[in-house]
Parts: sequence; structure tokens; C-alpha cells
Amino acid sequence: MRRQLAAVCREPLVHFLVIGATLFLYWHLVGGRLPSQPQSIFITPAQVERIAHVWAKTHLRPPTAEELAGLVEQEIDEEILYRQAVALGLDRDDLVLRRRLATKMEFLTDDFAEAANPTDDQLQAFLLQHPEKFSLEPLTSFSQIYLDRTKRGERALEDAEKLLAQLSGKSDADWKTLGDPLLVPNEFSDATTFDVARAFGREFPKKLAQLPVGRWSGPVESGFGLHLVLVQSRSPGKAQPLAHVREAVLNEWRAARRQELAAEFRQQRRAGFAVNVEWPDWASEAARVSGGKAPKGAP
Amino acid sequence: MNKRTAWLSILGVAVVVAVLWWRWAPRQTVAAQDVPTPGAGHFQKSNNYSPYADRRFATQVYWGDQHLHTSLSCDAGMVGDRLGPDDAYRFARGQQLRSSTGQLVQLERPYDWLVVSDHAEYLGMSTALADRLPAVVDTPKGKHWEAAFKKGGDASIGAFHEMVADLTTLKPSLPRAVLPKLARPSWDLVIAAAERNNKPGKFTAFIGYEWTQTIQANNMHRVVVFRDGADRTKQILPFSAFDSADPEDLWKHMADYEAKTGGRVMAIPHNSNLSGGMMFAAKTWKGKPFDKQYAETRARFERLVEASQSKGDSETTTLLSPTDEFANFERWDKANIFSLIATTPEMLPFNYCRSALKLGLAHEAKLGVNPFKFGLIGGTDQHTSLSTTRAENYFGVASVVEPKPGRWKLPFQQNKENPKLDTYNWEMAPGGLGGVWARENTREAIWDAMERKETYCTTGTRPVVRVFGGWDFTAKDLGSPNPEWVEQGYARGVPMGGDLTNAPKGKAPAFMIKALCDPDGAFLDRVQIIKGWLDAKGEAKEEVIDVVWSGDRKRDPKTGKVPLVGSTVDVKNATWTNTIGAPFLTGFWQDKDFDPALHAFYYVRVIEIPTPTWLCYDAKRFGEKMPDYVPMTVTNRAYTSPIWYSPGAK
Repeated sequence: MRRQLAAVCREPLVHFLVIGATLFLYWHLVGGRLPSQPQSIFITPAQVERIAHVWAKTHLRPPTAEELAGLVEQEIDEEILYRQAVALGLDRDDLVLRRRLATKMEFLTDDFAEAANPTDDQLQAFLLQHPEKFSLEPLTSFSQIYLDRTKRGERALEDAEKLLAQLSGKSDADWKTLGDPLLVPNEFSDATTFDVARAFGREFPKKLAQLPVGRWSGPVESGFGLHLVLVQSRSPGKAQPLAHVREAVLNEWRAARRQELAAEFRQQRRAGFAVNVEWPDWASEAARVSGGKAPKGAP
Repeated sequence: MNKRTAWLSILGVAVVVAVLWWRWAPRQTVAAQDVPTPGAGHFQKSNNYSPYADRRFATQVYWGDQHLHTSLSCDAGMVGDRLGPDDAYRFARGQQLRSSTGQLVQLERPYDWLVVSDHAEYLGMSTALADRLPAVVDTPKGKHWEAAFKKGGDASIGAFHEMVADLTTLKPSLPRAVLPKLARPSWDLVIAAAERNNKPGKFTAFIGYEWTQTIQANNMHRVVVFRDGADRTKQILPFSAFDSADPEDLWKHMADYEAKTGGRVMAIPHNSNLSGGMMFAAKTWKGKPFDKQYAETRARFERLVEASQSKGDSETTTLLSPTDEFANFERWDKANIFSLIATTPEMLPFNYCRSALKLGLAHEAKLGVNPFKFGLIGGTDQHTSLSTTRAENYFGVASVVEPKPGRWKLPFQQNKENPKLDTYNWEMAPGGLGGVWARENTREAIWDAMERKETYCTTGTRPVVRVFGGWDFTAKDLGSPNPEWVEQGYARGVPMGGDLTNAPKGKAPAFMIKALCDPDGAFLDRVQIIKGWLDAKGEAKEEVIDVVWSGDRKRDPKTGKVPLVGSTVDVKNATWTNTIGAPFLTGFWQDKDFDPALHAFYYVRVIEIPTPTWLCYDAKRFGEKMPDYVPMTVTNRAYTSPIWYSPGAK
């Protein structure tokens, strides 16, 4: 037995292993307390290039020699401070940093399937579920004749009614020459509520919506005076077929899908953690909403 | 094969390759943003049979504010503005919002476009302090400001004053190396918000910022507006007054931007009335007299001037225009912007737009180029993220003066040594708007319209004003129905912002004007033309001509003046009625005193009947009694960009 042990002890491999283990043990116990060796900071030519490039983009010219030297100095200082900060664990308490790293991680790990290609059936179902997002605005096509109260005075209303009778009689009276001039078009084709309000004032779209289709009516009041109006057509905000709004529906569907996936990924991530929240007394309501444990003494 | 066959084969292959290359080589494609902006001759007479083909003139006026601040501005954010650019755009598009003081607010009618123009200096400061951006809060000053911001109230306002003080000395309290670290993320925010809210055809969100040079409290500010989107604007950072106080350096930065990215950008000065005689001074910032190159550069980059806004109107003043009975309007003639230095009569010619336009003619006579050949536009300069220009809907110039009792008497700027220079909130105007005649509602179309100066400034309401100047218009042309009138206007003349030159023998410029009141606002009193010219001796002159007015008032034969229209304002109830004035005025005027040898300009001014001021509405709402010097009525107005006449192409 002894002879075997002696034989083993003479093996170079064993010497090697023993010396190695000793060194590692020594280093593990003492290494931390040794004065730290100077760490190396390497600034490569590519980094200098990048620093100069970023600066040039802002200032629209390359940095001078002095400026570049200064920038590299700043870079070195920043690297040193960064390493020291991490060594001290400063990154743990920094709100901005935490958020940034969390966002980065989310970005790396969560594949939100940008390229997801839904079927037409899926898009159609989505379109039906959210009609208000994809419907056309109500549009009105109409003609109008203006009567200027300041020119006609008391007779304005009477003139309007006479004109209305005149127009109702003939089918294609030369209506464009009737009434008074105004710097507003006398015909509007498929005008939205916004178009009508900008031309005639805030209150006019509501009044327009009440008018009958297919015949001259009025007089209707605007900020300018009196108008006779012929509404040719009025299309209520109507749902559109998928073919017309495919792009918009696809975008909205993807946005909704992203949210669903985000929720799924959150759940998956949590799976690896045992979460425990101790709510303070004053936050019992939030605790209830969260579905977590109620704090001690809470109802 | 033999030599001959070999050579023939090579030739054959070469021919085939050449044909294929000609047929399928990639051609240079042109993207929309690469289409150059149209130059002066943008309306060409076409040879088309179809009169509707190649129609490239403006068909509609688009309303907007090119000067608004959000919480990204270091001052707004520090005095209570909690709304960001997205909120500003939402509000401009007509949505209801809660203001920074929690009050519900909505525009009377949506805008068509908006420039969020936050200060380049300390851009995004309050956001950076709220988020504890390390680059900022790890500096001694940054730490101090962060604490002040968190405390709010007076502490925050104190920090605000310190930041503003930096603007008057242009010595930043933060280390210079920190400034781009603050600017970069903030500028990205500005761009992202503009891109999110830009809806071509429906609403235009311009990318822009303000260069806020305020040395010694003389206002030399410019709002910088880009024609372009994120791709180009991301390549630079805003040029701040900390970078340089010299406008020529700003223009250099703008020229570099255009050369580098192929984009376009303009600078719009404002508050010349508070510039201590500096804005339109006859010397450059470096103190040199103008030379041709300076004039060209200035004319190239400063196509418009904001002539009316919250801190007073800059059209003209009584001392400069003694016979203009409408010259004393929203005047801030006491001092410069922080009430630091009193404004003297000597400064006035260099403080006002009408005067500057005249000075421009004199410079042109000497240099061959007019450095002050600018169009006019309005803006608010409000620091609440809410552009509110109506008296009944006015939410103040900053969040500390959003509607509340007593806001009228709060001080704005105070000078402890000279309290005569103090300004108060009751002197604030609701701000102006810009009406832009463009072909469609896109960044390119509206920017191009601003570039060719087809714009006009209003003092907050939205009257529609159109003018054409030409050599052979007659009064009869005025009567054409609208589409023909507009076509003829462009075909035979120029719109606002245009140039007339090479006068045909014996002819004088003739102007056709149509002005329509704001449909939700007040009727019009009158339409005027203001002519400025350089007489034979080289002296600049001006004349105000009443072209057309409402009702049956007669021009006084002795004074040549048309009597005032009167007032229907009921001050106690803050109401008025459109029983005076007219909703629509059209006028024709020809310059009987025209001398083809003399440089001149003509612009249109439209005046509304009197309406209540925001102070009148406040007094009623809060049951306040205000002293007599607080104005209860206002006559809103519009000023178009001039049409210039010059004798002949050199």
C-alpha cells in the first residue's frame, strides 16, 4: 500500500495537479485582498473611428486633433467610471438603467412576430369586431346659395324664401348665378364634417345633417348669413369591405396580436420566479385588485 | 474557330450586351421628398388643351401655429406644463384634453398643421430631470435643478429663472459636454412625436425647434422649421444659442443641413418688437455692414417673419406710422423681452415689420439684394402645449396663467430698478395664426407655400384673405366666379408673396382682394392696402389705403379717412353681434401714384369689427373688476405677405 502511494507521489502528473490545486487555493483565498492589478482599457482604432463619426454627425464636420484627443479622453474616463460603478453595484439602484436594461432584454427575447401573416378570415373577423376603426366618415355632397344679410337687410329672409320657391319649380335652374358672392365654393363633393365646419363654421355640420336629400331647402344660418342648400347625397359612416382597408386592418390586427403575445411572454417569464408581494396597510385596496395576499390586520 | 469568326463573335456578344443594358439598366428613381421645391415661376402657363391639366396653384388656406412650446421646453416644463408634443398635436387636431392645471379644453375648430418648436437650449430638460437622466443630474447644477423641479412651486420657478438667465448670458450652467447628451434623446422625442402625428392629407406635423438667442434680453429668436421627416432631421441636432449667438452661424448650420441631407429648412424670426433695435439692425451680429452675400443668405433662409404673437404685435407702431389709426395695436414698446433694457425711439425702426420691409428696399437699392424680403405669418409662442388664440378660449402663455381668477394681474417680467418697464399678464395677446395657401395638406406642400411666402398672419381668428396683383387686372375681373377668378389671378398676376417686375409701359400694379370673415367670428370692418416704397431721394415711405369697407360710410374728403365702424361689444356680458361690418368684402385698387423706377411693396390688411378681449371674458366669468387701462375690446386683423415690385431684372 505504502509502496503504491509512493509510486503515485512520484508521478509528474500528480505533482502537476497538486501544485495547480495549491496555486488555485492560494489565489481564491488571497486574490481578493491583493492590490488590484491595473485593469486594461483598450481603445481600438474602430472605436476612435466611431467616436469621431458620431461627433461629426452632430457637428457636420470632423473633429480637430485637439477635439478628438479630448473625446477619446472622455471615452476612457467613462469606461473607468462605468467599471467602477458596476463593481460597486451602482447599476442595481439606478431607475433609468434598470428600465433601459429591462427594455433591451424584452426586445431581445420577445419575438413579437412582426412578419405574422394572418389569413383573410382572421382579418375579416377582426374587421367585424372593430367596425368603428375602419368605417368611412359620413360624407355629404351638396350645393349652396348664399344670401348676404348686410346687403339685403330686412328683405333677406323674404328673398331666401322667394328664391327657394323659384328653385323648387324648375329642375335645372341656373342656380350658380343666384344669390350673393362668397369666397366659399358653391359645390361640395363628399365633404367630411371637418370640411364643412372649416368652410361654414362650427355649427353648420349639425344643421346640414338635418336637411332633406334631393331638393333645395333652407334658409339655413351660418356665420356668414343665410344659405339655401341642396343635399345631393349623404353617406353615413359605413363599414368598408376588407379589400378597401386591408392595410389598416393588418396594422391594427398586428398591434392587437403584439399585445396578446406580450401578455403571453410575461406569463412565460414569470414561470421561472416565485413572486411574493407584501403590501403595506394603506395599500390594501391595491392588494385586493392585484389578487395578492391581504396585509396583516386588513379586513 | 478562325480569327475572323472569333472577332465576329465578340462583336455580336458586345452588341447583345449593349442592347440588354440599354433596356434593363436601373434608372435613377425620384422619391417625393427629392422633388425640389418650386421656384418663383411656379405657375407656368401651359399649352395643354385641357384647362384642368397641370393645375398647380393653391386651392385652399390651411390654418396652423408655427410657434408652440410643450413640456420639452426648459421654461414651459419648469413652470408647470405637463403636456408633451403628442398632447399638443392631439389638441391641434381638435381633441378634448385636460390642461396642465386639470381643466378640460378643446379648440373651436381643428388646425391643419402645427410646428412644435421647443427651445433648443436645454431641450427636454424637465423630462430629463423627471427621468433622472444621469448626464444631467450628476452635475452639480443638474442635481440642484432636479431637486427644485421635484419640489415644484417657487423652487421650480427659481430654477426656471436660472435657466433663463443662462439664455441672456449664453453661458450654460451645465458643462458643454453634457448638452448634446441632453439634446440627442430629446430631439429624438420631438421627431418621433412629429412622425406619429403627421397624417398626409389630413394633418401636417412639422419637425422644428426654436433658436432662442436672448443676449442682454434682446429677442433675436427664430423658429426653425424643416420640410423633411425623420430620415433627414435625425442626422443633426438642433442648433442652440449656446452653440452660437450669431444668426449667421445658425444659417450656416441650416445650409450644412441642406447640403448634407438634401433637405430644406427655414428660420422664422419673431418678437422683433422686443429686440432692442437688433432684429432688423443695419449691421450684422459681428457689427459689419451688410454685404451682398449676407443679404442673399438672410433672404434665402428667413422667408417669413412671425408678425403677431402673445408678447405683442410687430406690424408697426404709432411713432413710426403716425397717420395709421390702427397702428396702436397690442403694442409692447416699453422694453426688450425680459424688461431689462428700455426701448428707445431710435430702436423702433429696427423693431417693426413694416419698417423693416421698407429698410429692405433701401438695402436692395445699395446691394442689389433685399435681405428683409420676408412674408408674414402668425404664431402663439404659448408654453402650455395648447395653442389657443380665441378670446373666449384663451389658456394663457404659460401654465401658471391658465384660466383662474386674478390671472390678469400677475406680473410677467419685472425690472426692480425700473418698474416702469414691468409687463403684466393682462398685456398678453392671445397670439396669432398662420393662414397658408397650399395645394394640399402635406409637409411638402405647406412648407413650399411658406417658402414662396403665400401666407398671411392673423391675430388669432381665421378670416380667409386672398389677393392677386398684376398689370392688367380690372375691376370687372373681381366679379368672376371663384374658380375663374383664382385661375385668372394666377395666370395674369401673382398671389401674396409674389413679385412684379418689368412694368409694361404706362401700366401700374392693380390688386384684386377678396376677404371673408371667420364663420365663427366677427364680421369685417375694412380691407386696406399698405404700400411701402423708396422715393427718388432714397427715403422710405409708406401709405395706408382703405380699399373697401362695410356699410355706407363715406371717406372724409378732408382727411381721406374712412370713419371707424363702431362697436357692438357688450362689455358686461362679454358679447358682440355681427350687426355692423360685412361677412365678405371684395376690393379692386390700382396704384395711381406708381413710378416704375421705384422699388415698392404692397400688402393687404383686413380689420374686423371690435370683439371682447380675453380679459373681458375673464372679468365676466370670475366676476372681476379690472382697472380702466385693461383693454376690454380688440379689433382682430390679418396681414398678408407683401407683393414686391422691382423695376427690372438686373
